[in-house]
Amino acid sequence: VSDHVLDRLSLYLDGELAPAARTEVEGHLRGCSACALHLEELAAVDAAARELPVPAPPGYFDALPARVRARLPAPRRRTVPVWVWAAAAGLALAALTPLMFRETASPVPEAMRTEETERVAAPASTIATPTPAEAPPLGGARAKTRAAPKDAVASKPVASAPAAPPVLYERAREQAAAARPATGQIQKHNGPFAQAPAAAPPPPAPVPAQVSQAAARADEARAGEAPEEAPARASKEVQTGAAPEGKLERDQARRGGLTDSIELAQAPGEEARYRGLRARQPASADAARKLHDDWAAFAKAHADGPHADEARVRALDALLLAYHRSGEARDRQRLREEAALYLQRSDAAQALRVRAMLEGLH
Amino acid sequence: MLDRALGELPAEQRAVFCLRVFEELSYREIADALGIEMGTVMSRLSRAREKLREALTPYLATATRRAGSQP
Repeated sequence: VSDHVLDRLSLYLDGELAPAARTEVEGHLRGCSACALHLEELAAVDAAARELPVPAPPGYFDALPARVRARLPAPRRRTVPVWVWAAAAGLALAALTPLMFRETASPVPEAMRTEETERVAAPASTIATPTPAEAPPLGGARAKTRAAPKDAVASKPVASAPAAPPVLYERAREQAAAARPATGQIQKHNGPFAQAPAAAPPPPAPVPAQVSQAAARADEARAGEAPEEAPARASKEVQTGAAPEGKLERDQARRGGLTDSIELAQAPGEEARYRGLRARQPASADAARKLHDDWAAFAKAHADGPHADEARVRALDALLLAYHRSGEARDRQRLREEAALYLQRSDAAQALRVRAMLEGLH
Repeated sequence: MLDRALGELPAEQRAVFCLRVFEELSYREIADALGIEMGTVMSRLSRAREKLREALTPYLATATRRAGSQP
């Protein structure tokens, strides 16, 4: 067992493994059905947990220390439209089991998906030869997936941020992505079991067919075959490449649709400017203050645009950065004042996060 | 059963799992939010998933479970 990769599967699942380690794990997964299955089961845990109607036990958040609670960003699931829940409720765990047979397991499709995901999230220049090393480790595959639509439409290499970009920026990007209705929910399912919930929303029609097909196949596997043969069957399917290709095509179709809609929703100059600001990594307190000013100006100029809320929060991020760089009380005070103003907004989508920011000042 | 298993996790593991899976924070963000090391995030998350996996396993397909139990 010592040469298995069980201890790294959790990291692999989150896309938090270094490229070399990931390659190693993927290599092992190709030849080890036990580890591949283990990975599937871990992914099933995540997928099932996401479908829980209540993400945490009652009182869970209340039980957290106030310090921690205040640091938590706004629960992203709140932004999920009702129909997603309706779809998820119908599929839930029951659908996961049959899907085990269909989408099972081999790490190959997972690896392909991961690579595909990064290809989209990566700057244009890396599309031809995606190297995992160039993708930011933060956020994991899911975050990268959700960031894909924005990143894919522009030339600015957001994903080329160094290994440790400011956490706040990453988080802001994630949150903005999460605030986007529906698409965030769809895109975030990246695990091998993603198909059940993820396929449900956009085109309602294919879902029941797909699920019932998978269920039928699973039933068939149970009834007509010795249980041991089922995984082999799944592996066979994977080897034929049918399942992964289908999935990739669907993913691409979804991404394509997303990209189009985002392009339509934004003024041309706005996106470029947004990207320019986002790429900036101020090295000094002064540069951070300047970035704050520019974000604030952007938010004002595009107050109704898709990035307005994120721009407001990024302005605060920049102030926080300025304070961290300078240690000057005036920066802190300004951040407090502006954060308070932000929190008074009725459209403050990231209020919890801003409160957490304030909490972190103490 | 999963929610029950979630509730039975040690609080520190549950917190990390929830922040990762529900809030979709990165490891770094979780570490910052909870004031713990990245390595601690990794180990807690890994342990949490393992426990939840054990809780979930009986509900997975028989064949899958059998194959999964092989060394």
